[in-house]
Amino acid sequence: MSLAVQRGAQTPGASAAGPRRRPVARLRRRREAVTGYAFLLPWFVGLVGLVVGPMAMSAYLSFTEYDLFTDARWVGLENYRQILTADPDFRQSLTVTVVYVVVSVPLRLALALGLALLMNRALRGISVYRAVMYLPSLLGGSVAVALLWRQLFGRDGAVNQLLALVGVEGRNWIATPDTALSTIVVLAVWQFGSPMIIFLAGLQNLPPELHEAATVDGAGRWRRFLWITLPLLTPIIFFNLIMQTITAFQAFTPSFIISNGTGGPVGSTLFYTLYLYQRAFTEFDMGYASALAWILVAVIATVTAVNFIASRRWVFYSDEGR
Amino acid sequence: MQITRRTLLGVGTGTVAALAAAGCGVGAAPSASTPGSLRATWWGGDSENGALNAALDRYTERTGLQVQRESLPWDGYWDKLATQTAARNAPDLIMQAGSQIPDYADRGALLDLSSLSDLDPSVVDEGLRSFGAVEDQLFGVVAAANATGLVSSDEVVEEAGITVPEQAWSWDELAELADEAHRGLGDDRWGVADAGGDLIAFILYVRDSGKEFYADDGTLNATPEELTAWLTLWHELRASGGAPPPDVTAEGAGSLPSSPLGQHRVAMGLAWTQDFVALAALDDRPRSISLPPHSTENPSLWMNAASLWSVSATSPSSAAAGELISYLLTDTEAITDLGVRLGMPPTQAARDQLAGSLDPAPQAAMDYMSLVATTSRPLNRLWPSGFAELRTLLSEINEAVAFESSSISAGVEQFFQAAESGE
Repeated sequence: MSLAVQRGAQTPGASAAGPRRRPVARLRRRREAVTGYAFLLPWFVGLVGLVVGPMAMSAYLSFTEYDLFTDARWVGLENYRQILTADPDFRQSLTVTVVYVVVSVPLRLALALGLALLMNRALRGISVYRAVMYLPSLLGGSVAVALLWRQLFGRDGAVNQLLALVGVEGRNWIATPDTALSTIVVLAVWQFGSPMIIFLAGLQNLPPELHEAATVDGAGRWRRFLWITLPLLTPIIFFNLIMQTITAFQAFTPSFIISNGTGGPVGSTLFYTLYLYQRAFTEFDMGYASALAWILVAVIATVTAVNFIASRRWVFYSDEGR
Repeated sequence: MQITRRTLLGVGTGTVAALAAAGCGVGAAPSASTPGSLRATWWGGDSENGALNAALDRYTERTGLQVQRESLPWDGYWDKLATQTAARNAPDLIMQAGSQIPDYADRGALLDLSSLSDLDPSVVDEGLRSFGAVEDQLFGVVAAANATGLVSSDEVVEEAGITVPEQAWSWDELAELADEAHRGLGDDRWGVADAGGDLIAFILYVRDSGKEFYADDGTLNATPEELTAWLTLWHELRASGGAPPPDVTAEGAGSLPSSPLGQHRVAMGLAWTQDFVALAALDDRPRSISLPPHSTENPSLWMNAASLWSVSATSPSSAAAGELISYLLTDTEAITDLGVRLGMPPTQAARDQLAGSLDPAPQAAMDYMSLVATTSRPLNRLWPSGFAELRTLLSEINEAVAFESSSISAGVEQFFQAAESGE
């Protein structure tokens, strides 16, 4: 905020002074601009070629029927109409994804915050612990971990062997519709690393005075956490919430690997992106899949907007009060 | 500000030019196959790759033609081929499947092979010739043949105290036998792997009565009553223990080694001949393949095309591709290189040549194919487009019924609705 204000304040002054007495400076500024854009070019090429171009293309395709082989045929809003009114798989996949987001994101954030609090101490070798805690997230999105998950939660997997030790009879967690999604949620929660690091950075930036003052006033640990740490951390929580929600809506790999690309059993792990993939690459309904993609964009945008509006009620920016 | 905008414009133009150039580069590089070289693609694992690489290396040695190879497992294969075809960049020589070839042929992606003078499609068995034909054009020549069989685990069958019949038998008898096997084996092992979601098995069931699964015009000939009876048969089998519970089936879905049949947790199961060979290679425990339920007056089995060779419609070296197909089918050394690793050879000459030199499991598969040849009835037509989707749908329906998230009648309705809208 403050940076933009400063820049805005400077520019009028500079341009007023510029033309009158310093053509050389103007030339130099022009050169600088050229250099700047030259440096931007690689990024810009990537943006246009890999993001904006394909997005525009998919927006166009979402109004067509396109099977990759023959030319796209314009069908107007037909794809959208069919998705929204007559596609049970769309509803199923959206439900599965929303359940996944609503359950996994808060759990992951809570775990990340809890561990960040534990890691935020001046212990000997604390950086080793931090690195170790971050490890699962390095492996997280990978195919190998999803395969491992299949093994762990299978009928003869490690989870059931542990349960057998305490006399509980397990079942095949991944192959049972009631529990398949839960195993993927557990996998997601386990990948708490990146929000944990961000929480940790936030915790280390908290002003120590407030804690000291509260301690002097006789506040216990719990009260200090609840009334000082948590409110000061709300901007960080909010940032993590937004980022994690967006990521969670786009989850693909775990369900693809764990269900062998089927979204089964009985559609219980049919994530939105997996359904989109099936429509695009097993049924070659590229137009339909593009429409699905744009609906997902709209859903994510709406959820993010709602989050931003709601944030006014609970996020506290300490610099506002100053 | 003016400066900025102009600069930006310049940058923009530059970018477009750069992108256009890049686009050209990407498009041009692979399709400019140098004279004396060819691109070939197929699906498969180590076994198929080893066989085809050996045969192609020999061809290069002999003729000097370089063959650039691309191979992928079945699933990724179709994603990549579709994308390449859409980009007009398909390889010259393409391995195709009976279920996919109508889709590709309809869209003009494949060359009519009857235009190639160096390729004589009549070397393959008569019963297999129609698999690559769409109306009066020929879009694929069968590369390997297969058939469905009943694979049993010999030790488990013996332990269960059952005998797998060799003569004609019915699906009800299979169900009884499976129940008997489960009683002999106790908990955690079952009679027959769940085939309720296997469209090929359902087609066998329908053809048992003498009718065809698809009418000649490609509409569905099977009736809701037949599908209801079929799904009920398997639902009762799961309840009685004749077939494994749904979570066991779901756990092994899509992976032969972890399937109940692969793990010897069922006495019997339906499988393709090439799966029988792959299963036999998993462990040292003996397995056999025999005829699934069938009637003698209306044989339900058919000799099937496991894979076909096709040539891309955009291929600049189609004649060379045709010669290569001919080499793979008829050359005695190529036949030795390939063995039965793609499936059963589609020519009598190749089968005669290989007889006696094979390992026990491939030999058993080849013997089984000879048996099928005498106990089969060719399909009346190729799979219509939409077949692949119907295949997926039936397995989803059977799974939903098994987990009791859908009733049999709702599943039947869903199946026929999809079949009608798909045509």
